[in-house]
Amino acid sequence: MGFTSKLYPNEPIWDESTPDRVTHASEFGRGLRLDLRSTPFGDIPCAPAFPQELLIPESDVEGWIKEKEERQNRISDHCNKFGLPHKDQAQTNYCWINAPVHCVEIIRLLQHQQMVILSPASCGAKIKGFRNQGGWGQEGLEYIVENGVVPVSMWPANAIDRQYDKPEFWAEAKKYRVTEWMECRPRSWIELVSCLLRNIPVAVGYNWWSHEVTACDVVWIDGTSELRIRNSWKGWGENGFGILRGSKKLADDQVAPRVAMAA
Amino acid sequence: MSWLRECVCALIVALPFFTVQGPPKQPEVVVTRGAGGDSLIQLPSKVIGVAGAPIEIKAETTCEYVEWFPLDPGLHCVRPELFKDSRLAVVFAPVKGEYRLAAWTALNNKPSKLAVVIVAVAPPGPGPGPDPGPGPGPGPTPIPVPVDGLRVIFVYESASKLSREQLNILNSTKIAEYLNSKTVKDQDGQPGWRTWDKDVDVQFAPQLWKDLWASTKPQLSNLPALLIVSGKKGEVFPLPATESETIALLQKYGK
Repeated sequence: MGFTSKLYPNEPIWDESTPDRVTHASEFGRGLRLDLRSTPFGDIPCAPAFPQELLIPESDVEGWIKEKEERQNRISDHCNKFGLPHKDQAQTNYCWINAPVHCVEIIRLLQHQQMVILSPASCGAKIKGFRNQGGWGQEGLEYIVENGVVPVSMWPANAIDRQYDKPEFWAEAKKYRVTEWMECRPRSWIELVSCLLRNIPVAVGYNWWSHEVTACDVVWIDGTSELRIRNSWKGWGENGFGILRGSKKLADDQVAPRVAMAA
Repeated sequence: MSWLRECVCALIVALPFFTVQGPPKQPEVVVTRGAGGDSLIQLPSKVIGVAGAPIEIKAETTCEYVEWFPLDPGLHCVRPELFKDSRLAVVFAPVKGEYRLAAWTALNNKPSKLAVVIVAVAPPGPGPGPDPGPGPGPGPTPIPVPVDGLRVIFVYESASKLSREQLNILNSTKIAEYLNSKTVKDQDGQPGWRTWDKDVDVQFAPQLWKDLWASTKPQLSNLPALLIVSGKKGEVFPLPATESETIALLQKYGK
């Protein structure tokens, strides 16, 4: 019998058979609006396309997954071992900014910098003019590259509120900028896999779900590579982790920050 | 007093790296007055040291606090806040030459005039010899550092194609647990090690890490690499071939 990934105890596995009443449960906020996106893939000067030399051959993927699982050096291993909590977007439509902000937290974890929990609402509110509106990951990440993210110690995670919009908070946010990032081709599985096996987290947006989450690991189930995501829903999955399989794993929007400020 | 500091700092154009090429020598101090200064502060006119070795300079002043500034690129001033007495400065220069170091103080809200000392840096070794050349040779290169304790920086290029084993080392939770327990903690409690892209922006990093990065980065000819700082000496190594070899290397310093 071939290798199969060991999943976390309460990890949900969603595939084509998972009903909408489960994936679109009303108690959770979502908010992906890729239809609003005006910049097609490859047209963003500051977000180079995924470099093809970083592609991992499909024939090598199973071996990489197995080895990373044995060595426990996947993104989820770092999050679990060193205590990085998942995001909770509550009832906001800010999934599209929670995912890239969580990517920044993960990168900082992997750079072994102080764990600072960041406020998605600080960026989301500014981008959307303090309205609780949907958006997409590239939109959020571009803002983070330019302005950074305010820590939750200054701006509560889900506060869409002008009272927190203070110059001194944005001065602090500059410490939490992304300085290098790239964009993967929409629905390119191998580009997404190549990022994750290199421990580069990816903010992934799904039209089928109208939702954006953080892609963390690749797992191997029944002879196929599948995706472990981290959701921004409180109480969902195992510490926020769950599995997307089949066509559900193919993301329509994939942005991958690689380097954060050393602060 | 920060406005003057900013003006003087603007004169510094570059910060080249420094290497230790032999045992440090005690600087000779020529006891005559340096340029500038006034009744509030005076410096010796000239201090002589060796490339890569620390050179101590003391200001004569009755004022409590002294600010120091290298005026010429290539002269590094160790963070003054590390010393109890700010009248003492410790500087390094990587290559022979003459550099100007300025100092000033203030009394009753009145700033002193700028005092200037010439720091003459001789090449290392028993006598004058050929220049050591622009870069480090193969193998680890010692770096003098102003801090005690074990600190480590892994450096890589995130946009380049790293091998599976290199990625295993850079992302190793085993190495992370080891270094979390063995490195000295920063003021905020963070363990004293980092994994950084070669182009990481350190402008908001704690001063200690900025200093380490400034001395390390010019030595990074081949990536990935790691800087190990133990005691007051740092060495840059190429990334070992395996996770276990990396741990073995770190264990030499982490006892």
